[in-house]
Formats: sequence, structure tokens, C-alpha cells
Amino acid sequence: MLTVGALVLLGATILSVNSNTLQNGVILRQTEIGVYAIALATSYIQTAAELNFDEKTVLTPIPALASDGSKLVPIDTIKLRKLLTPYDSLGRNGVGEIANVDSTFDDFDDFNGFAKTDTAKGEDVFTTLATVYYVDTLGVIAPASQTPTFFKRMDIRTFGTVGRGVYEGGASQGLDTIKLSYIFSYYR
Amino acid sequence: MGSSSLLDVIGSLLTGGLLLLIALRLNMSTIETRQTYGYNYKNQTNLTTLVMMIEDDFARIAYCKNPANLAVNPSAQAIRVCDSTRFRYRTDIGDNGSVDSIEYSIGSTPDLTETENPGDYYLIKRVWNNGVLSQQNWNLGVTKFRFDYFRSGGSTTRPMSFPIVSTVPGNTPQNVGLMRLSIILESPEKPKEQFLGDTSQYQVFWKQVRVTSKNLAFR
Repeated sequence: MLTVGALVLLGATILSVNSNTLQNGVILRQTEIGVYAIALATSYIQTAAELNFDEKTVLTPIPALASDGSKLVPIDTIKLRKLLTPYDSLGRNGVGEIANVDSTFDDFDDFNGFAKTDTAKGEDVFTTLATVYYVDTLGVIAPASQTPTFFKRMDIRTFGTVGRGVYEGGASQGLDTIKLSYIFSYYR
Repeated sequence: MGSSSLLDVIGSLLTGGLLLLIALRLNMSTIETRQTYGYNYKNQTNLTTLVMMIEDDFARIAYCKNPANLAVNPSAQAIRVCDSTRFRYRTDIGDNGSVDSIEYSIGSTPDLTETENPGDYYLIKRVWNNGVLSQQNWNLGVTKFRFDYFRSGGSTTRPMSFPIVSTVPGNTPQNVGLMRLSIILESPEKPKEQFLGDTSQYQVFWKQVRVTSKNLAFR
């Protein structure tokens, strides 16, 4: 009887140790996948940040100053804003730009509506979605603006097929989604 | 001692031995797993810290509190060396208006001989701050540290060919607008005993990021 009791206790201890070890492994794996997702999202942000600010500034920059006789004076910002793409036309609007093929994009807001799937070999399949819109810089949180401004914000979401939440069903509940934002300004 | 007692003793010895073997196996397995997870955790923290530092440094490429010190065209002067394993650029360390330089590189052959892993390098960061050179050699388990460079306003999938030097027209450091950095970190030792005869079974962790700097070009 004593032997049986001891075996049961030993079995329970081994199961408990195994369970803890596996849980540690799962969490490490989840953070590893999270690192890949963040790398992917930041890479798209950096790629977009290297492009032109707007389709209208690809060939002709919009100067902030104009010559007034012998001196340079600031141009009215309201007039300058009207030169930019209207907020409801943000997205692919140039010749040769292909949906979801970022290598064909030439300006920042071409990423509006972007959706792409990437495979990190041996890791997971990641889906990236992006939206781009004008923002006002008056508020701390930079609210969306329906009139063009010289600031555009990209919200990017990346998620994989493997849930990173420690809870069951993390992926199906969207708990594994990496969300990053970036504000791109024209004048620096 | 009767035969029944003898059987009891033998049975107890067998059971005890079995339990001891189970306990020893459990102990070994726990140690191996802890070591594997330990290397994984160390690689992850090393890599994320390294990338955070590089992104923070590279965001200031071509930055100077006094832009006039970086000559007329900032991008022409900012990037000094563009090699696959070496990148040197100008910046302003300490935000004091002086033009300083930072270089990241690895050696031409694996030079981290203190570890069992035959493929790891020291990651070298050289800093020229106010003309004073300082160098740090980091043992992070780097086995790959490769830069690819993309033309400003050009293809984001096809990198520029090497060499990227000022004497090759159209393929100079001032043409660079975006960089892709691929990093692989490996554990210094093989984490499991059964991997000892296998040269590929180091704990591997990789990351690829794209980085640019606002100051490289005015768009």
C-alpha cells in the first residue's frame, strides 16, 4: 500500500514538473514568434518611411518658403495642404503600383489598405495589415484629420497563425496581434 | 529468511532501482531543458537589446545639432563605409554640435575562440567621439551580421551591389536610403547532450530588420 502511495506521489510530481517545463517552453516560443512579428512590422514601417511623403511630392517638392523680393517668407499652410492628396484618396494612386506589392510603391500612403502574408521559415506565417491617414498634431494622441496635413500616421497590425496569448484560443481572439503606429512628417 | 521475504527484498530493490533511474532521468532532462531555455532566453534578450540599440543609433544617422558642420549635403557626408559586415556613419553623440562617427562590424573570420561554437564573432562597435576613439567588443553569440543597402527611392527588394564606394558612379554611399540588417545569434554551446556529434544543433535565433534615417534625404 505504501509503495503504491509512493508511486502515485512520484508520478504526480513528475507530471507537475513536466507540465511546468512545457509551459516555460511554450511561453519562450510565443515571445520568439512575437519578436519576428515585431521585426516584420517595423521593417514595413521603415520601408514606408524611406518613400516619398505623398504622390504629389514624388516629382515636385512642396516648398515651405517662397521668394518675396529679396527675402524668403513662409507660404500659407492652408494653401500648401491643398496640394496634397485628399484624405479619401489615400492609397495606391501612381502608375505601376500593384496592390500589396510594396516594392512598387513610391509614397508613404500607398500602404493604405496594404495586406500581405509573409512566411518566416521554421516559425510561422504572418499576416500584415496597414492603414494610413492624415493626423492633426494639435492633440497629444494626434487624432485623424479629414483634411490633408503634413503628418501621416500608419497603423500596422501583424499576426500569425500561432496564438501568443497564454490563454487558450489566443489567436482566434486576436490576442496575438502586434499593433504599431508611426507618424511620418513632410517637413523635418 | 523464508522465500517470501527474499522475494520482498528483491522486489523492493527492483522497485527502488527503477524509481532511482526515473528520478535521475528526470533530473537530467530538467537540467537539459533549463539549459536549452536558458540559451533561448539569453539569445532573445541579447537580440532584442542589440536591435533596439542599433535602431536607436541609426535613427540619428546624419543628425547634427549644428547641421552646417555636416557640410552642404548631409547624405553625401553622413555614410562613410558601406560593406556587408561593416557600416560607419557620422552623427552627433551627446547632441553638442560636433561631428562624431560610429561603426558596427564583425571580423572577417569567426574570432570568438572562447566558446565551443566555431562560427561566432565578436560584434565590434567603434565610436569616435570628439576625435577620441573607443572600441567595444561584444560577445553576444553573433554568427551572422550582414548589411544590405537599398538605393534611395529605388527598389526595396533588390539591394545595391558591392562595392559601394565613392569611386563607383551611381553606387556610392550617398545613394543609400535604406538598410537591411540580418542578424543571427547562436548559443555558445550545444544545449543537449545528444547534439554533441551534430554541428548544426546550436540554439539559433535570427532577426532581419530594415532601418532608415530621416536625415538621409529630404523628400
